[in-house]
Amino acid sequence: MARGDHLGEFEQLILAALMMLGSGENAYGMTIHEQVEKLATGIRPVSLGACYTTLDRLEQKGYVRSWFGGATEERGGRSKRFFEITGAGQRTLKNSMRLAGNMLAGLREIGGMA
Amino acid sequence: MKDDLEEALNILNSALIKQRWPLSEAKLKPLIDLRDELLHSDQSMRHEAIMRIQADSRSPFAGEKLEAEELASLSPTPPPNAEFLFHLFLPPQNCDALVGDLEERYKLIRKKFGRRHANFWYWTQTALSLRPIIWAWAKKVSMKPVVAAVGWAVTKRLIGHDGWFATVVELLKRVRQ
Repeated sequence: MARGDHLGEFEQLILAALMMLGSGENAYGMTIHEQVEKLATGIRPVSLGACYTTLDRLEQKGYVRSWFGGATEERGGRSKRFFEITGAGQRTLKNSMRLAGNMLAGLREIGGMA
Repeated sequence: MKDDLEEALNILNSALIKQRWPLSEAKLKPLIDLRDELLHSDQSMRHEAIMRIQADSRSPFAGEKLEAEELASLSPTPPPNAEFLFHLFLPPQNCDALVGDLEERYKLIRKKFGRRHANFWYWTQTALSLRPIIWAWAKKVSMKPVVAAVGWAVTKRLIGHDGWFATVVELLKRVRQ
């Protein structure tokens, strides 16, 4: 993993949610928020605003790309902003998961995570 | 179209007219018109729309004195004050996307649990969402003066003048060269 590729806990959650939602027009603010809420159930609260600020940050890092869809009536004539994980995002998430896996394995060896 | 009719019936039949009128197919059109006008208009236009529907003999509201405010308050749109807060700290397109997401969920909650629950949910989400948004905005805004100060210090050091005016003049001279 290159220096600067570190992901925060919430960034990992968002990228994992994006991978689960897949590409296309499944992943937008509300569905991402729901998915992250599911993943973080009982661990931490998740707000829609936090999802958006993190998605913006991930987009600046090049791990996520976004585009705007058409306006719909059920959203009061507002357009959806769709998100998709990039190749770099997938690689970084996998590295983070590998790191977490190593930590878990190490802790299990000493009986710290029964 | 069928969904539209069902939505009009749900919103208007249960909440707006409080089950005072049995609805036939012929009466659905003005209901849909009313719903659309309520959704896509401001307060004064809503009032006009309601008055027009009340005056229409085909309408189930004909002859009834309904409070315009009561009707307007039944329009399934989220509280505008909450929306305004997002406009303060987000760029317009981002704000539209976020508020659209909230509105989408708001309508679902309102349909299931009613206006009170939906409003409570909307305000809670607004309060929770504003914290990270304001924090991100503050970081972005506070970085600009820091960058400017560092840039200024570097320029002064490179050019070797203490006064700001002399620094600017010297900088302009060098740029022209």
